[in-house]
Amino acid sequence: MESLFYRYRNITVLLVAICSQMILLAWQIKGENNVPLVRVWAITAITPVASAIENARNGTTGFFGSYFALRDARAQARRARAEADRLRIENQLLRNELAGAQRTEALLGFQSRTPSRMVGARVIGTTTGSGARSILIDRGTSAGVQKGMAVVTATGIIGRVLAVYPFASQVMTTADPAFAAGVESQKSHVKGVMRGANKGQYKVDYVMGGQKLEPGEMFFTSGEDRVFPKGFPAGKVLSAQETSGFQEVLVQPAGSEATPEEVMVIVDPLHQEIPAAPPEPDTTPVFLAPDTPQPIAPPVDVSLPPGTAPATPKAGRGPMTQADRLLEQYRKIGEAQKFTFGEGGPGTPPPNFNLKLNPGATGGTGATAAPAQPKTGVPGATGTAPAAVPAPKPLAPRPPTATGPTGSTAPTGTPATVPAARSPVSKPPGTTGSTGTPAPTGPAAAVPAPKPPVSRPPAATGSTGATAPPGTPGIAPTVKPPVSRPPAATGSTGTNAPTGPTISAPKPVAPRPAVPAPVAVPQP
Amino acid sequence: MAYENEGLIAAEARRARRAQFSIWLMLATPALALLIQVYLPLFHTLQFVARIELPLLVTIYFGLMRRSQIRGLTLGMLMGLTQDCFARDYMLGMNGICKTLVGYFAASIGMQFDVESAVVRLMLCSIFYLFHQFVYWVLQRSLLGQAVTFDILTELFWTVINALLGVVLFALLDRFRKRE
Repeated sequence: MESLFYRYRNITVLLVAICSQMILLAWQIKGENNVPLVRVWAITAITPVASAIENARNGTTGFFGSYFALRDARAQARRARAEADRLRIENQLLRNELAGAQRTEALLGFQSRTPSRMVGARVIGTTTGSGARSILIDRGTSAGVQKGMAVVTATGIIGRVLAVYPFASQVMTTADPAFAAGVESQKSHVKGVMRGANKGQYKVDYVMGGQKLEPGEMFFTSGEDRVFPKGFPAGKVLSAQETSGFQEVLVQPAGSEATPEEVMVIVDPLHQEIPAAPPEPDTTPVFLAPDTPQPIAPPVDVSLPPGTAPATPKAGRGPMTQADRLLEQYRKIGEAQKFTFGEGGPGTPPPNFNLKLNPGATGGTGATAAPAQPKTGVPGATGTAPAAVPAPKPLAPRPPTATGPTGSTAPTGTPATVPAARSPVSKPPGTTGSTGTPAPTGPAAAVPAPKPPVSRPPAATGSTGATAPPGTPGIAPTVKPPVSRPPAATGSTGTNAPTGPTISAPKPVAPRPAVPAPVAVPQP
Repeated sequence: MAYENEGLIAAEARRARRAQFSIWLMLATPALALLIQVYLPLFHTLQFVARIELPLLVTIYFGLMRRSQIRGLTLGMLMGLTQDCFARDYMLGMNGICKTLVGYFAASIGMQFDVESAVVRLMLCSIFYLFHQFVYWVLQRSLLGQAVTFDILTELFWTVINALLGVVLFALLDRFRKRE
């Protein structure tokens, strides 16, 4: 049995294998093809390998894709570089053509502005030798060019024709030491001879000493050399120095641009005027215009002492504002008390702002205040007051009982008598003061003395109208000391006028238009 | 009797010339064949690879060279079952039965004939491919009851292709063969 099995073992194994697989098939068919576990094992086993292969495939594909993309990018960059080079060359050619067109346009404009007949030529070469510096142009005898003709450009002279050939000419440029041209300065018309470059410097010889030349002044051809017609730019003065009777004038040639490409040959020269020098720029500083003076009078400062200019206009400015006047007043008060504002710690006593400044200290301003008063809206007093107005004087104090009429003023029509200035009167606050400074109603010569500004209570203002009859000879009122009166004490003002001297107190009148001042006639 | 003795001597001599392969080659070659067979047809442009039976060719080669029927049918069975595992539309055992038979018969033929010639290999590959496809068709119709046709022209075309590829593959695997 064992030998039999050994003898047929191969076929036996085959049958077993086939049968087992057929059983497997039958089981699958019966189980509706549901053998997930075996498939899961197989797929789980093959998935890592498949993933590795897929990654390798992706990497290979990406590598070759990137390679081909880079190769394409390199080719594109090469093409772009070639295109950029071509465009750069084309751009340069176009720029050259544009520059040539601009030069041609400039030469045409220059030719149209110049009365001389000229022939355009192109520089075809330079013949720079050891000593001579010249250029070759493509115009010769066939174009009418002759030896000795002037060669210019729009910017200035270039040289003169040295030799002529049928279709070319040799031009000695201004850089040649042997070159010379008669020139004339633009402003002062100083004449000289411009030489070619010698050791790199261009000079104008034979300029007499004492002739005025300024750096930057232009030299034009003078036409006296019979080569260059008059009026072409030759050079600009760099410096001028006195040397033994002559001046050493260094110039910068006008047509000294590096190797001009187009020039003009003057075949029929005509003189032209040297253009006028351009106006020099105004170097004076420009400031803002001063404030326009205001026609209205500034308000009278009631606290100002008599004789002090109520408004001291600063130089170049209009009338001061109230704040300016207060600032000026406080500054003076501070100076009088040796007090410096802004210094001192807390508790430092402030200056006495009620200090009455000495009118004499401001007498100057008080003297000027009188003629300035007509500006304060009193047209009737214009033109007559300054001649008869003396400077106000400080008044002596008087007893408090001598309460004279406040309305007593200088009589009208008494030119010689001038009421003295009164001391300031202490006034309660709120008084309106003498804002309406009345104009004299009498003859113009009878100018009331400048009264210190007096402010009264509203009840006391009525006395200002109590004046003496006009025409009565007046006498100077007595000097009264400063009086401090209570408001009630002012009731008597205006009642003593008849007994007083014949003076005419200034009447507060409404401002009226300026009228010609009448002739001062003293009344008997 | 003399003929029988001479035949036995020849058979024993061929058996003694049994080809030897390294274990890595024995494992890597079927795995690579299965991988190509399963993986490449996933691409639309490489779906034709599914008609190239690399596992079958590997089974034929090792069956012919190893000259052991049991090893041949075992290898064929494992290759067929693994191939069935990766193909969802295959029933487990369809390829296993076919390749088991091919491995067995390939080892039997390798024991009787000299299979070193390329022409013989070409003919054997063609015959075994057709046999594999026919058995598979029979199993489909008989066991599964599927009404599939056997397109002889198409099968002949792919028979030629697989036979040519088998000759090349055999020549390539011969390079890794060790002789005792």
